[in-house]
Amino acid sequence: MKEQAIISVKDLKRTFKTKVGVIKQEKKQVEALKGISFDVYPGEIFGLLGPNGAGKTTTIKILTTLLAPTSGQASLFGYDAFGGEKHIRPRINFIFGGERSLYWRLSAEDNLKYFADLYKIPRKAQGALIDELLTRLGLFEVRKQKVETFSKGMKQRLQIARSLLNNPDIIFLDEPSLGLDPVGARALKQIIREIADQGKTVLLTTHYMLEAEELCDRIAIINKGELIAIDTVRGLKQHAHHNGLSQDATLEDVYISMVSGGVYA
Amino acid sequence: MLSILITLSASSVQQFKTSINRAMFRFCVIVSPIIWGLLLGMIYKEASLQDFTLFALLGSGLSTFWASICFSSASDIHRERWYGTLENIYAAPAGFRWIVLGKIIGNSLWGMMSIGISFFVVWLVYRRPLIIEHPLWFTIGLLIMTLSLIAIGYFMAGLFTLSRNARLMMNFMEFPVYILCGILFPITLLPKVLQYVGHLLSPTWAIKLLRYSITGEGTYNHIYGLILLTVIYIILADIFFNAIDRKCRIDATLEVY
Repeated sequence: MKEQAIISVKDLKRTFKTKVGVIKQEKKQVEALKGISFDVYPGEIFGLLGPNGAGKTTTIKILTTLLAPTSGQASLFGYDAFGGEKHIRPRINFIFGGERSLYWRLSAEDNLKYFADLYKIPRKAQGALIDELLTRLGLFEVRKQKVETFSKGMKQRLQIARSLLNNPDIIFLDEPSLGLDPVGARALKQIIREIADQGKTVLLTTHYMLEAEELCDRIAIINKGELIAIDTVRGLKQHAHHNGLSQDATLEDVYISMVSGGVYA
Repeated sequence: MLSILITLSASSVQQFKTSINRAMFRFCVIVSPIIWGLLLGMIYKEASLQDFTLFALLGSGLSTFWASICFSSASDIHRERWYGTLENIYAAPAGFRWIVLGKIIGNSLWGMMSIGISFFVVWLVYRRPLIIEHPLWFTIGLLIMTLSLIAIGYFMAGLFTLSRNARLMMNFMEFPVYILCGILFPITLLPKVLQYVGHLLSPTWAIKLLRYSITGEGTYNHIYGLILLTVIYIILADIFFNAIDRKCRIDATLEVY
């Protein structure tokens, strides 16, 4: 029997309203998600791929209780992401790519202490936990330094430390390797694997196909707000092969073919 | 309850540290009270001791305190949005409203220090004695006024979370409060209509109470107006924060784009 999904997305839609023009303003609607559906199972590393503006971040923001869906359903642990946040928030955490989401004028240690308080981690347990995370992510020596002095890779690692503070069951990583050098990207992949080895569910978005191929158990490809494929890397390649792509095609070939309307056109 | 207190204290300390690391905030809480103190001291140095105490000593401190509430507490939401931390604190299990309140308390602690700086500067430069007829009422007035300004900051922070454009309001809210509430000169100099508007703002009642405590003239009944308005602000802020949880996710106002 199939395991119960830890994340369930059904016919999810999200429309953004915006205004265009300076003097004569016109209202405009952008359909970021046009009714996507997928399930993620406990312990999976699930990749969400798609071009810029495809709807990946919108999906993650809805799942992390930061954005309301226009219609459809997104649930985690059986609770609706819009309405059941009290049950969801203590059990998840997230990282949005880039160097933000940290207080640059505080030290690494102060950042983690603050977020530990916000995640209601008992103060007695905080010291050992923060030291362990900083050591694990190679930041212990610089823990007293202000974040503004950190390199991009160090900031990314600190964000990961922050996201692990509450020992979440699901971690959302939105383009975590954005702008990292190869050494940093490799270290990040290792950390993601370690997280998954601990039984955590990881939902990952990335533009690096090799990274997705190496890490993800299953991949969903979104384009223009629609889900165009969902399968294992092997399954995606096989399907692409049946549709005329070479047997040696990489995930990148498959992806480009799909989003440009080739394989699934 | 304990977790709320921890959140309030952690957010106050975090804000206390973060704010003072910003040059603009240092200007607001350290340099600005010195300038205000010197200017208002110069304007009121020939006035009665009571007016000097009320407008030079107290007015300079209160004006910078208000500026720190207006430019920091409220705009901190916008700053968090730009740091990318607004989403993190919004989704934290500790509760967004307590986190924001803690941050405003943190800024208010610096604001109170501004009052101390301006007091000291005015006293040092102008050497006029400080006259307070009713020290107890003076202390009570200052205390409730501080709570009231925190309530205003809390209310504004909610507004700024809901609207990314509300920050514009911050720029034109600073001076009207100095004028309408009688922080820099007596409210009785204003046209009647503006006096009525001023009475919708709690600092007006606080200044009246402080005037009573300094001069001994009038009545301490102004405390009722001050408390009533403070309670109304707190209730409005509470309603606002309840609405925020749904509205800002529907309108997508937590992020920069």
